[in-house]
Amino acid sequence: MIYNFTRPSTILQRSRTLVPWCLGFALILGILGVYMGLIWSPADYQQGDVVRIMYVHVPASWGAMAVYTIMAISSAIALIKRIPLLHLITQAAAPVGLVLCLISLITGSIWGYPTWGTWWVWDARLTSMLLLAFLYSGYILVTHNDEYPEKSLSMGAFIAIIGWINVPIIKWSVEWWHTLHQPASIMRFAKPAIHWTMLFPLLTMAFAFAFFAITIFLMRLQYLLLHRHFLSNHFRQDRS
Amino acid sequence: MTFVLTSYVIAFTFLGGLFFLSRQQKKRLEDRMKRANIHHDA
Repeated sequence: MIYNFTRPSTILQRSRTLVPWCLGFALILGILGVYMGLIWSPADYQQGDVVRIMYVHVPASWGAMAVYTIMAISSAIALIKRIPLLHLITQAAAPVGLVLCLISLITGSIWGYPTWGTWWVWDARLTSMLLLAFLYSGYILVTHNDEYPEKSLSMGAFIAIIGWINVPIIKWSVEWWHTLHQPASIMRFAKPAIHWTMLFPLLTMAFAFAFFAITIFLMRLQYLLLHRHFLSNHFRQDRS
Repeated sequence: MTFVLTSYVIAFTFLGGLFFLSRQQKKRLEDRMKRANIHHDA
């Protein structure tokens, strides 16, 4: 049963069915999220309208950290259990995580200027997030290799696993060090410190980002599976 | 509001860009496979 689900042809089939559904959910939630974020939700009493940047900045940051965590877990299992398919899952997820990380950095910088008076500051949260972007880039560069795919994927897996140490640092950096960045308002042990009129659009947008990320991930996974199939057939034809 | 709209445009351009790039890349490979007469069983 499990074997069936890990067969490339089954994954291709299932993902082809899932992609339109995920994309549909992402578009519906995205339109709703943009409407609520830009029009429905109130402006902040201190920051004014600038607070609306939160509805794209926060989901992107959560996504970037979640994707890296998934990459680290699948890499660890791939190395321990020697399941090559999990390396492809990590490889398919990496560009999605990098784009989310870049969105987080850029929108954070745009939010920082009117709020803090500076586009960038080398504090713990911003620097560790930038490091995450470098880790994503490093993984993509190392694994983008058709000549030695197994070796490069194993090396990439080490980057994903060792680099994961940065994720809890990003999460708790605002509590461990004095930073310009505000502390967590939602992902904390106490009750969320945010009004429901802001929490609702934020969660809607977070789900929209999640569904969109899953859509792109599945499309990239399909590409990688087909690419592998193409290369193996291509070389077989060359040899015969 | 300029800062807000710029952020939204950047976020959706990046995500949309990656979506279209991934779709294009997959389509190009499928065309190549068709030309090379390589079939996949899905």
